[in-house]
Amino acid sequence: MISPRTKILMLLMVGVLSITLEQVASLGVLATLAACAVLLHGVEGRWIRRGAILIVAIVWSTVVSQGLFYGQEPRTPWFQIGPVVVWVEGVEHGLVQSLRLVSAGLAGVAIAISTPPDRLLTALQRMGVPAGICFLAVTALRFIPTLAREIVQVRAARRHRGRPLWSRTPWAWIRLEVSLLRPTVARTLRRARALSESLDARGYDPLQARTQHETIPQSSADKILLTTALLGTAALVCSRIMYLLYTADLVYHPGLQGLYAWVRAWV
Amino acid sequence: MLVAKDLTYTYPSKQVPSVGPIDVEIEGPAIVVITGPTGCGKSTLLRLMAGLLQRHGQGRVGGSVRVDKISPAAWSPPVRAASLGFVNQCPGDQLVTGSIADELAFGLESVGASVETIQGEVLTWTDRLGFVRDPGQSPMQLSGGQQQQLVIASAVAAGAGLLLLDEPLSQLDPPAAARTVDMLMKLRDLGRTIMVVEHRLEPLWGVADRIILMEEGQIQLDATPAEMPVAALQASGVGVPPLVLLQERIPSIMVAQVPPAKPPPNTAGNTNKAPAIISIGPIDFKHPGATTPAFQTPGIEFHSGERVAVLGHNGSGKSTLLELLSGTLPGASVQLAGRIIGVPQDPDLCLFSESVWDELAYAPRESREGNVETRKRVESTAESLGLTPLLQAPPQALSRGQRGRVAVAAALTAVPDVLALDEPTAGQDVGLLEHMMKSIDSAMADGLLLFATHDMALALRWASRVLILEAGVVVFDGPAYSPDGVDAANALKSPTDWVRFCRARNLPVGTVEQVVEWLE
Repeated sequence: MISPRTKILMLLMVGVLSITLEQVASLGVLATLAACAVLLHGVEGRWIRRGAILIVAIVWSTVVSQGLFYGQEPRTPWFQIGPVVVWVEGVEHGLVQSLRLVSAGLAGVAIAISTPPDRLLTALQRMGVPAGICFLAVTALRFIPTLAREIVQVRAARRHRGRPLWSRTPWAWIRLEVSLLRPTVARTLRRARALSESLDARGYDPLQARTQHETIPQSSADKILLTTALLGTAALVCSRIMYLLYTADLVYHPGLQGLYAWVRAWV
Repeated sequence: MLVAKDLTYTYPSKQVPSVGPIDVEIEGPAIVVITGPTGCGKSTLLRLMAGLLQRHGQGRVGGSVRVDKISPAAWSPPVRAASLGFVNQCPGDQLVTGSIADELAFGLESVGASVETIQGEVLTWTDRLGFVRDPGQSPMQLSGGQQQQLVIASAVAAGAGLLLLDEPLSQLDPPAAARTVDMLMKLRDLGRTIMVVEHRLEPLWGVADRIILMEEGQIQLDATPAEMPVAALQASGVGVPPLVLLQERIPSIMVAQVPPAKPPPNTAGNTNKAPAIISIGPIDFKHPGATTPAFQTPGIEFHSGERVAVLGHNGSGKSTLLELLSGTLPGASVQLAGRIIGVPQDPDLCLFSESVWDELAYAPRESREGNVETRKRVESTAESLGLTPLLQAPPQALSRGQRGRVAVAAALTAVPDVLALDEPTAGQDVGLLEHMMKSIDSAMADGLLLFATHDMALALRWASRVLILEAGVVVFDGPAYSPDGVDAANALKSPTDWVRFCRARNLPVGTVEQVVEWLE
């Protein structure tokens, strides 16, 4: 059981690493680790399938758009169909961008599904985040499963009353998909109003400290995990900085040639 | 003392006030019930009295509300928490924290209570609520009725002197409603003033100090229950207690001493030998993260032409059963010979078209019906459910009760073989509800109708077969009425006074008119 504070700090480190790393392989490892964190929490098979489809869609669309429209030089054609050229550097750039997004997104999902919102709220407050912002963030997070469940119900209602989605023209399909947002948005607006009225009537003041504070202790396992992750992230960031200083002709040390080669290949 | 003077509220899209002018004085301690037909402005009045529309509404507020000479809109947050308890119609939308304990503590924290006081109050209320096994449990995992009890308890726990409750009993089973009413009486005895908006007066009739009847945004009548003209309430579609109506019709009848409930009969088996249209099981279904099953059965079959009511306490598994049958919840082995349509407790999730007309026409168009047939089906369904004047309106802009009827109408135009309704009574006034059930019964003809409800009288009147659930298990499956007494009315552990009265005279549970006819 990792404490919420450790998880939040780990999420921040994934964010830092996803910016620091520029190699497809290393970003792939980061995304895989984040995916393992999600899978460890016993997600239902249907949600894994839906998540996988979403990830494939994100990676595919980014890679295709970057592969086709990559404009920086140098660029190398991968293959050509008539006037359409797919650029190797564009594909790589697309993979890097999408894997960054997927890594950070999966790490966020892992926290969201493994941490009760009240513990997350306590951890954020303990880290000095203003009470109003903590409450806002945690409330938004808390309603994500509700929203997901409602979308499933809307789709089930449509399915029961109509033909399968695929049995219509693409334009009709898109229109129908958009119309399915209507009940969800209306329901969300109603809920937001009820929630704000409830908070108002119950005297919630975002600037006022709450009197009841739970303390979540950091276990030894938390400390070991956090220290290891912090040292690893710091080492990678420092290596990258050293490499950048070398490529910018600012700092060079012959003893670091092995490090430069490793950063170029893996970071 | 709460005083409203020339109080009006005009919605942004309207030129004339939807509510008011209202002039009323309420001196506490008291229980005041505000009632009236759907859409008459009861909830708006309550939000004005809470000072919410003055602070957050986009419309125009006229006149004034004062609680002990101060406008509730001017209260500082801690004063508001200590003075006011406001509970709206949708309990699930008011839950602001991630655990039951935090929910109960929320108002107390706003007041600035010490940690010791908060912990003491949380313990007291988790005990009083009865259904709390783990105070750290997410309130989102509770049933609608349990959430309703929790939000009321949270409002009361903060010590508010003025409680404004919008349909607080709408999702409660009769024992939970009785407990809530009992709690309101005790709070009145402790000096608090409670204003309750309700369509159904049965649980509150005996305890209310005043009943205010509203129509078209105005107060029509304001009297004690004894002085209130029952005919006026009935004409407005308000649910007057059947025993009160019966006493009006037959003054000589003794209704004061309703006999106690008989011991429940043994579980009756369903003896319908017709081929099943839908069957489920065997199943042992648990919600994700739950340790106890939400519904379990070795198997149940349902047949064409049946009208099946699903009864049970809050959290007994009624909605789960309907969601398993309609396929909204995966994991059940359901054999279905036809088309099933489910209408969930929250009708909003079924309404995705731009207008009521389009919503009702969706299924016929999807079935490639011709324009003439579609129009005919839409118009007749809309007429039977009182929706004709609303056909061009956007469904999401309608009132809660109207949205519920549109969802049912949209299901009926799809001509389902099985229709599963979860709490069709929510937000409907009594007159409309009877009309709606009649229309559904007629439209379903040989189809199967399943409906989950807390309204026992409605269930026993319209059902041919009743399932009673307890903790996810079917404890009774049999007829609504049987002359030999082995029926649902006798199997209910906590029947309402009306059900007990009818069964004590060995009558089916009917409307007041039917019972008068049978008695005569």
